[in-house]
Amino acid sequence: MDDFEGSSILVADDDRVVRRIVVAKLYGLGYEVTEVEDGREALDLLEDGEIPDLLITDSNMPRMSGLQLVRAIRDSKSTDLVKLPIIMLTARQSERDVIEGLETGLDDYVIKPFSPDELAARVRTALWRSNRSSSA
Amino acid sequence: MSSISFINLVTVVMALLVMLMMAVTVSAKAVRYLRASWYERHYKRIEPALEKSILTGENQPELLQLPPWQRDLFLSRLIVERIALLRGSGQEFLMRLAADLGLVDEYLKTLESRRRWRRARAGQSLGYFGGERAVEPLGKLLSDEDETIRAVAARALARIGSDEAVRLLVRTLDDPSELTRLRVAENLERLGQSAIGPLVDSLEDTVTLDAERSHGQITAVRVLGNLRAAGARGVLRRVACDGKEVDLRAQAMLALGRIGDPEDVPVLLEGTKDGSWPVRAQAANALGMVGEVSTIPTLKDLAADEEWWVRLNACKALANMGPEGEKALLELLQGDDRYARDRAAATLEIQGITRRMVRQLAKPGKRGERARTIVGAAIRSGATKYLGGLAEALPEGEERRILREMLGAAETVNGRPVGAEAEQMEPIGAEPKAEREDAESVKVEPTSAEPLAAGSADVEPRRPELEEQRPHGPQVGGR
Amino acid sequence: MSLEGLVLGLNYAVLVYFLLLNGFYLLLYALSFVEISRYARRDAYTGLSELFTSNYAPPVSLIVPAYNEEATIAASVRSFLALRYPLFEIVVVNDGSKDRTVEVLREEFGLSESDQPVRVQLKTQPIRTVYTSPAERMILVDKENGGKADALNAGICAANYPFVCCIDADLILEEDALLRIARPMIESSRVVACGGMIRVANGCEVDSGRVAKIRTPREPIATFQIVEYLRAFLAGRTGFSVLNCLLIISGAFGMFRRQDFIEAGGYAHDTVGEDMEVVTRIHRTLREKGEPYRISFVPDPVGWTEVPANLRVLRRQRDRWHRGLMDTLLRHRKMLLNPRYGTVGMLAMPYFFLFEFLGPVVEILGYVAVPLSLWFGFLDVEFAVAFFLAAVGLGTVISVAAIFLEELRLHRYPRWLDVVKLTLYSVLENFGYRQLNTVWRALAIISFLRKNQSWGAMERQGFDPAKTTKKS
Repeated sequence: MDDFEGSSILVADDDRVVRRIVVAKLYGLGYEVTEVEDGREALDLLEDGEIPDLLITDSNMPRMSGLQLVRAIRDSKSTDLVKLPIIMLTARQSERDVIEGLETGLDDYVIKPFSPDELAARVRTALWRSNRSSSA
Repeated sequence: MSSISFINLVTVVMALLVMLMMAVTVSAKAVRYLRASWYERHYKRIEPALEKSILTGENQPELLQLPPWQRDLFLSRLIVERIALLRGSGQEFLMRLAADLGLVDEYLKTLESRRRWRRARAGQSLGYFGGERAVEPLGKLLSDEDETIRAVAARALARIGSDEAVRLLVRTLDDPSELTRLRVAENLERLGQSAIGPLVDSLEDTVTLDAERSHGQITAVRVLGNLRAAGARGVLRRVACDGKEVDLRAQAMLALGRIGDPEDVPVLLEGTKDGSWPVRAQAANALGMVGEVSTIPTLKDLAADEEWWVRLNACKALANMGPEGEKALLELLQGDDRYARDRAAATLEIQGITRRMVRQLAKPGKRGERARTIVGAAIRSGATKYLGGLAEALPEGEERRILREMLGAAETVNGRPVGAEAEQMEPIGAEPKAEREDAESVKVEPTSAEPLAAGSADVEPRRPELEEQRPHGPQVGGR
Repeated sequence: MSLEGLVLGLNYAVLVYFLLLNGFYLLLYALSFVEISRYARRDAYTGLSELFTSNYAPPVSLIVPAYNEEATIAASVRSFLALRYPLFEIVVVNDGSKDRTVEVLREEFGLSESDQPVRVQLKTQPIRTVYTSPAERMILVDKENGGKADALNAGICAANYPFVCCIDADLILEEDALLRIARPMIESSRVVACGGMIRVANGCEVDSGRVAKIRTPREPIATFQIVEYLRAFLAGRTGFSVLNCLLIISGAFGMFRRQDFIEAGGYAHDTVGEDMEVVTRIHRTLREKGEPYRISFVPDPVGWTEVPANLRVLRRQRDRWHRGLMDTLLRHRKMLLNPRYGTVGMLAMPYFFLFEFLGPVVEILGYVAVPLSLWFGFLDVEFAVAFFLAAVGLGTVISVAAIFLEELRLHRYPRWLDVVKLTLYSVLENFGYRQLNTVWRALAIISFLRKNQSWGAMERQGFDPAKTTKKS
């Protein structure tokens, strides 16, 4: 697999502790991590053209939920945004929620409680996949 | 002069009281502010050390040097916050850390505290990092006098999830508090396979299946069904046949359906003859889930049941059974029983079969003929509003012409314009209007208690408690 | 009896009345204090977030009546859809709006006409069409105009789920408000209804349908109402709910068990106080059946509402509230002092009759009698002043105590300034604002009595839904 050091990752979660755990892990692996507290903030950032290589988002956040954010991204006019790999990191774990999430256009679904190592592996895979599809 | 002092007294007392209250209010704010900043200061110091030790996997000396009260007050909170979010190696590390720091021993002692909120906090924390050692003491906490604490203990045990913990938990399914029961059920379901054995035992324990414990049993049965626990089939079959409570039998039927083993069909068929309609309704539901074609004749009979919910579930079950089931529905639509006809028409609409038939109206040969027969039957059963809407939505063409013609013919047959009839109706009642007027004082429209009318993606009944499914009033009489 | 005796007697009666009133308030406050403290402690250990992901929490139908709300309805529904609850649906009831409410919703949510049936278990105006959404869990019930009560009834009929939560379209709900208001009802099947807390949104910063920053408003009128709401909800309703005789669940935010609600007959069409009336009726029905039940109030599921910031609108609101109160009390006067109805009959009803219904009359009597006796010299000045001080002082103490309780246990106002301001306003309230309210309510009594002279044939009161979008 390729090396993704230096890839930029945007983390949207309203829980400070989750952000700290994720950021600590990913930062330690050499990614560049930006954190935001809700979907609206994330969308503002994305629409300003600061498009990361990957987005990790929670589903329940104030102002704009994760699903709304994903919908907005997938419906957006910018092709970069439409292709952005998204991993949802959420406590919603029922079958219904997972299906709904994946159908909305997620690349991966990680349920809290989660393993940071596993998340990191999924991040790598998602990056690799998106890299391959864009270079192909 | 006594009155002067009286007025002074009142003034002074009142002014003092008001000012005292104001001062107390403002100082409440001040105390909170000071406390928060004090906590903040300590967290700022301890949190990075903890994070560092998670990343490196080594206990940081700073953490080990903390005085016990700081471990209790700050560190245990930080640990719990993280354990709650973590799985795998990170979680294991934190649990070990908590044990190394002596937090586990400390909280095991606190469980005996006379102050309930201290017990609650200790129980909660032990659920996160207590491990096997905490199971037994937490089990004792399950019979605490305080409901909140019982719930805390249940959640803690579920979090630990060892065999012994599960066994203890299953017992709390009988807790008088509904919330605790639901929480336990939820947690047992989350535990998955390891919960099945103890749940089965809990049902087998009670040979008599007494009503006192029915809540716990119903919950146990539901969990087993949701877990698709094939190993529980034996006991579920017994409960389905011999349970005293209607809801218990009904839930057992549903659970058997969820598990979906064709060998259980005889039990389900027995259930369709039950004297209580919820059991029949869930048996029908379950038959649909199992999907044995041989049960179609029974379901067809059930489609003419006297209870609306049974008819609904029977037709839904038929719709789940592929072409054969569809055929049965179409037969019902052309049959003699008006109630079955109406329900079949509604089911065909919801399943999109009617729409498909309309598309085939103009087809030559047998298919077209069949489609025309079926649409005709649907019109006769009064589903004119739906078809009328469909006719509006269709593109100009042969199908639309035929459908309109058929609807027009129905108009002249009934002797009144279809449109006007539709106007007078409440949103789609599949029951003919006249019947609704028979209903006397009954405010219920029998057709309309349908929870899933819009064809939602949910297959599960949207109401967890069976009793909620009951239409609220007697059915149309005289059947 | 001499004039002097009469006037003096009146004075003493008023004095006793005030002592009784404040004594009762103190009692309620003490109950509330214990209850809220316990609630706040308990809250830390209930695992609300776990409840949120539970598959076993009963689903809820949110009923939102809408009348001419085209400007805001889409945003409201959006913010309701983002609430935290495992499974819920939104039932918007268009009460024959004259504007584009239906069209706006249809466009925004891609609603399509549906054959979803409505159980006609309560009498309502005819329902025109039911719309459903392919993507979201929402239903739109389009019906003929019939007023707020009628719209709510129709919505409850259309609801699919066992719990129904009635809310105003313009209410701003906190994210976990549904979880919190549903909790007592999940906890025990005996809880048949549960009221949430209404707070004043004026002055707060609102962002995407959520209250982002909590502030007190500039307008004194709105600030007085904060004090009023805090006192009524924290010190009043909590106490009543402890005694299980809560007679009002705000029409703007309350949850019911659908079945019990329908069995009690739903909202009444012919009253302006339908929210109080229905709760009183549920009490009555269940007490008559002899079933054990509870009607609860929970202090922290919060809905924020914009309160009237000018006197004209405020006056109209108060007038309506008081007429609604009187109407409910008279309809259910049978329960008054009837031991069969337990605490409702023996405590809540007498309290509402004596202190809420007749309160303004007695207060005005006092305002007249005291100066009168001073004028004639029946009463010495000191006594009058001391009496006034005591009455005002005790009232203030209770108001400040409510602010204290808020600050101690719920602490929604983060700024020092706001807390200090609220305590000051609870003192100032007694000089002007309170009297204004008293006069309005007294006038409401007069207009009510005039309208209801022909009591035998209860006249159907006109009901204008536009005026009742806000209730508390």
